[in-house]
Amino acid sequence: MSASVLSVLESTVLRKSPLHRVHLAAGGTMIESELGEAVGVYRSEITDREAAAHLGLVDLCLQPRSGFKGGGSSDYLRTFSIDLPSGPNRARFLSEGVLVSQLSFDEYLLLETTTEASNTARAASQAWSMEDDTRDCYEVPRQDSHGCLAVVGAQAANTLSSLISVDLRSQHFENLFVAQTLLNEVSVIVIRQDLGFLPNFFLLADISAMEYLWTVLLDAMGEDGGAAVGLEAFHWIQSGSAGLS
Amino acid sequence: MSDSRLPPPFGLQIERNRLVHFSFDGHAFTGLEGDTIASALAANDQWLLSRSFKYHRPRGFLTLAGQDANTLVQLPANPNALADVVLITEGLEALPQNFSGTLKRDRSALLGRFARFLPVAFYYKAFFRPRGIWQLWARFFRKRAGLGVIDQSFDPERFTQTYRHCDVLIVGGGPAGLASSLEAAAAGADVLLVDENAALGGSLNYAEFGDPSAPEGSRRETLISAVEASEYIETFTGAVCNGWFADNWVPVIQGKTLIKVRAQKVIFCTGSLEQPAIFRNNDLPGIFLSSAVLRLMHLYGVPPGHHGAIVCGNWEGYRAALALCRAGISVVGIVDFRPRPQAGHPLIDQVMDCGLPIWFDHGVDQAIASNDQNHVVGIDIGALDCGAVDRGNLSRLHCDFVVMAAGFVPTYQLAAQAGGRLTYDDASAVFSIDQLPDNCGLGGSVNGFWNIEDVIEDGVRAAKEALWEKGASGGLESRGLDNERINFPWPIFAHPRGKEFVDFDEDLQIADIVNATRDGYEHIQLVKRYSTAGMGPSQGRHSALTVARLVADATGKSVAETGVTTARPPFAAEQLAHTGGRGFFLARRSAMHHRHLELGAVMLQAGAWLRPAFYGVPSERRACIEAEMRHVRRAVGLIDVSTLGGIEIRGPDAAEFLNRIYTGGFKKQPVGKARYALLINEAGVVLDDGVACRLHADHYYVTATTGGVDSVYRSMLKWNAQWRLQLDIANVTSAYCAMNIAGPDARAVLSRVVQDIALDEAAFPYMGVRTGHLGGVPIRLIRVGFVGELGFELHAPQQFGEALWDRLMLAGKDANIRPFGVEAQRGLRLEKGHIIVGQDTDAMSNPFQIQMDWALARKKPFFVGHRTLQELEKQPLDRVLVGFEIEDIQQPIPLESHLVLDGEGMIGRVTSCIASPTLNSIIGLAYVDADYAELGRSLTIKVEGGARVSAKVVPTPFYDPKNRRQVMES
Amino acid sequence: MKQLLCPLNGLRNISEFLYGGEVHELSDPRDYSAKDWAEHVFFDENRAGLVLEWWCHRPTSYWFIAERNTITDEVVRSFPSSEIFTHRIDFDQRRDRGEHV
Repeated sequence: MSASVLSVLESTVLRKSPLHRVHLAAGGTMIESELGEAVGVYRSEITDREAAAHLGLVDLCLQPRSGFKGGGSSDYLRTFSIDLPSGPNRARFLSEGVLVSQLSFDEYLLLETTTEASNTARAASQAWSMEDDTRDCYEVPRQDSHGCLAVVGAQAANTLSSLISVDLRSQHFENLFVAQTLLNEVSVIVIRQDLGFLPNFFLLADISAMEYLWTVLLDAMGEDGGAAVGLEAFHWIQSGSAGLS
Repeated sequence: MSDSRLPPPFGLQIERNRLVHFSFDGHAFTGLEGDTIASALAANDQWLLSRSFKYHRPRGFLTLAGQDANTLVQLPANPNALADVVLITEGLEALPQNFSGTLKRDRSALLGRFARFLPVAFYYKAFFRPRGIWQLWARFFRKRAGLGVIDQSFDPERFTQTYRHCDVLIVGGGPAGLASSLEAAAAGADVLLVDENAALGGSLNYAEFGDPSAPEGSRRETLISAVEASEYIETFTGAVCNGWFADNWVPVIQGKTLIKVRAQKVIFCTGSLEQPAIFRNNDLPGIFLSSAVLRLMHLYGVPPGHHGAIVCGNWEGYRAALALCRAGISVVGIVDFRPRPQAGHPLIDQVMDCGLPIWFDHGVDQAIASNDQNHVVGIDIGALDCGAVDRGNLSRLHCDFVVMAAGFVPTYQLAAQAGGRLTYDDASAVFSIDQLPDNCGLGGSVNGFWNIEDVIEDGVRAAKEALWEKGASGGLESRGLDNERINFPWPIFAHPRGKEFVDFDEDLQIADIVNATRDGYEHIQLVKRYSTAGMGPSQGRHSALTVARLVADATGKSVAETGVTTARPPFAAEQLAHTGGRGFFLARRSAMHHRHLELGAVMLQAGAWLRPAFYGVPSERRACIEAEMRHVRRAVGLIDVSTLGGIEIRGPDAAEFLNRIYTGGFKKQPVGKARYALLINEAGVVLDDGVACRLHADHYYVTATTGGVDSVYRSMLKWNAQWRLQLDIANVTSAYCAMNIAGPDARAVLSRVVQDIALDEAAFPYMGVRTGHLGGVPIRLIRVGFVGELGFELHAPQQFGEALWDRLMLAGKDANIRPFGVEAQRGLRLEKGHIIVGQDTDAMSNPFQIQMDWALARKKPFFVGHRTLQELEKQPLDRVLVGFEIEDIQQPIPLESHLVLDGEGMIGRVTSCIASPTLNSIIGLAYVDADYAELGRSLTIKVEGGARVSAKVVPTPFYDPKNRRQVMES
Repeated sequence: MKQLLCPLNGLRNISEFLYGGEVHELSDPRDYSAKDWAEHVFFDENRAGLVLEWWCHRPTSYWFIAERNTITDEVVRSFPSSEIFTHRIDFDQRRDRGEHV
């Protein structure tokens, strides 16, 4: 056993998005946080913020998330004091920054959306074990199976409407609605969570299709003047600054 | 140059001060902004646009509305552009199509003289004998057939697609569509209004509605500005609704965008198409539909000529005559097919007031061409006798253009696609549409209304019905069909020398249609296919009615009985790029994807995944693959198998579920063990395979093939929707990265990095499963032997994939670890005799054929397909998958699906084959008839190029039959 | 493009769905003669009129049952499969042994 090999390993297991190289190639400036290494700013703080308000694509693959399914999953989640959505394909935004989406009659997805979000999604995942399966609740590995992106900005619905066939007109797809559909043959979970006055859609899809999806989205967004933006701009919009300015 | 243009209010769409320069047929012209190619050429006194398809006759334009094939021209990157739709832009270069020599002097025009020898269905009749002669003729005809030229060096342009949902889609922005939109919007509906023209307004922009002081102007402005002001109406102009599909799914093409519209309700306000009169030489440039002349003057301010003759069977001809007089253009007279009405008519008085002569009860014998054949210079007319022209007493009208007004056909195509039925009233000679489904409606002239007030009111009614369901329109009464007879029943004047064109696209004359019925093709659908009527670019828009009338007359039926052919999408030509859209193809990548690229992998597409085929340069493919294989046999290799399917089965009934789904037995499987899992369907056909790892009494982790996992997962869900066992099934394929470290040194390399799993043979035997950690990352390790060496398959959360790959490569550095790709893996597994489901099995393969009886747990009370296997087992085995060997490695290598022969008879086929670097011979698997499956039997395989090679049936595994390599003590 | 009403996801384009065949009664295969079993495996009733069909919404892998009129191609209603498959189904091991005694 070589000690040196092990030590190298531990120091390099820094979490990276599957889009890491795409960001580097596009000239993104990387930042490190407890969640891993992510793109902070794509071009400049100002241009990123402007782009995010108009139409921005954000890589949120490092955001903590977890999933549970089975008849007992709602009871399990309630033990963490989580308020559940009203029914399938609806979401609820918890005050601590966690977005809870109900994906079927007995399946839930937790997404920690903000920098200040509580670690509820992670805690619920870590507390789960196979030893307790009489409660009919099973963890699903959303952190690894799915990547997460956000399409944000005034033109967000417009761009997404060119890619998915679900009716996204705001009176038909309201804030905190969830749609599970296909985007260029990739299954996607679309969650609308407006940020202030700005439309915002979280997109979760198979992690192996992230690079493909990123390319498809950026290409389509180009038609509406959209661009990739860094986390800083997204957090700025989340914090409400965009709505005030 | 705008001097020749008519003064305002003529020329609604042109900007008189903005000149645009363009060229046609190599000559420079100047037009005005807002002009189409056709209108600009007309303004330059150029009336010849193209040559006809068959006889190369000179053609101008018929409709000026983008509805006829005469106006097809060649643009640099776009053949068959409609000259009366495409707007001119500065520097535009357009060319005419379908001529030899020059447009004005076409050598092939001589073909017209031989029309007598080119009867209907000429090709069918002339070239089928002697056998094979068509192959020779085809070369000649192919050169002549087709229109336009594709520029193969063009730069691909961006085409795009989008979806659009709406409450009400209104097709057609004429008076009915505008009124309908406003009504729907007033009720709060989200309205989409689509019109194929450059501007809204439809007939309001050009038609004569009776009062020359033009209240239409203000009506038009009022409607359009109200529509434009409404926040509930979105308008697409220059956009074609190209079809109607189930549940109101309507493709709309606007420029380079395909808009896939889903509407709650669709209202067709598609208007009507004017129809030509049929007489000899009715296709000469200078002969127009009355609506075309009105469009030319009102939209573009271009006079159609200097002296016009009107031939008509309705009042539209009179209205056109009055408009021409108003514009100061001389009209030589009106030839009216109808007898003089006894009660008189205000339009007759108005025309007489202008001093125009009218010939009632007269028809057209023929049009006279100029010396160069390229323009009309007159018409011969005569009195009608029982609908035919009395040729004994003809008079000639000299004119330089002719206006035809014979009637209209509703633009029924979309409504017919939606399920509407087209019926013909023989008394009034008009088509009408009924039986539309509840989610569609009609408004305006397509619904049989002609009076402008009625058209608008009908649009309003259609919107009300759409919003409040059919029949609930609350007392609104339609005024019924107008009294005005819009259609003349028989505007068809046969001539002994023919050339009365019924279908301009296909150069079909009256005799062609009549002869088709005489050849026995009496049904309208057969007439179409035999004569090609309606099969040209304009899809029968101007021939369907005439053909129906001719067929009805020739067969002694009514037009209503005869009907028209089926209208199918697309309504207008569309480009492949429209359906292609942005053009992306799904590619899934593993967490280690970029490491493979950095290591020089040549990637291949495996289902939706990108996988390394091998590492190295393409030109050294075989050497690279063989080197990778040898390295795994001699040292240690690492392969990314993340694409393997992974399914978690968890819950109290997990073991019971596996017992039902797979053929094997799983209830007694110990925790910490993996078992081979074979999946068959109810018909006993092999669908998939993998290993089932028991990680906990109630938890199995099952692998599935890369291409099969999605359907395996869905199949599991469907079965348990019926069985209702207590468990959860989760497809976790993408959540786990996986790599297989294989070779004699695999254990040594792994032991340098795996912290908490004992790897020695006793502690971790073959087909064992362990969980533990590598560098702090939780992993699942499976002792497998797919490639036939000591091997461990490592599964871990995918986000650590790249780091774990790096770790193993680093840990194996001293052992000279090398990555290997899919090709080497396929070769290695074949040496070991392992099958790949989908490659070595097909849609008929059962477990007995692939010699997997050992994988069946027959004592189970149930498993999917068991009952079928019980029956199959009673039957003699028909074919068997056997191993074969060709000892001389220099022989040609058989490929997949090469035939196994006995003499000339096929007795089987090859499924996998390689030249084995390990065994120094060619080895493979093949299905053979059961009689040929005995060991040592000699087989003949027909390889590429037809050569035969001799092979021998041998036992599998080819390599290491005693499995010593998989159990190497460290 | 047709639409189909999914009990979980609402009205969606038919391209989001996979057809799963007619709904058959689920009974113990051991009760079938060879001929009846072949009928069960290889034949669909293909009735003209109302039929019950399995459909799967691909993005959610959700199986449900739709009642469709094969003459008009109209889906009359769609509902969760649990409305038909209400109980756990078991295949009794002992019964099999008993038969062989």
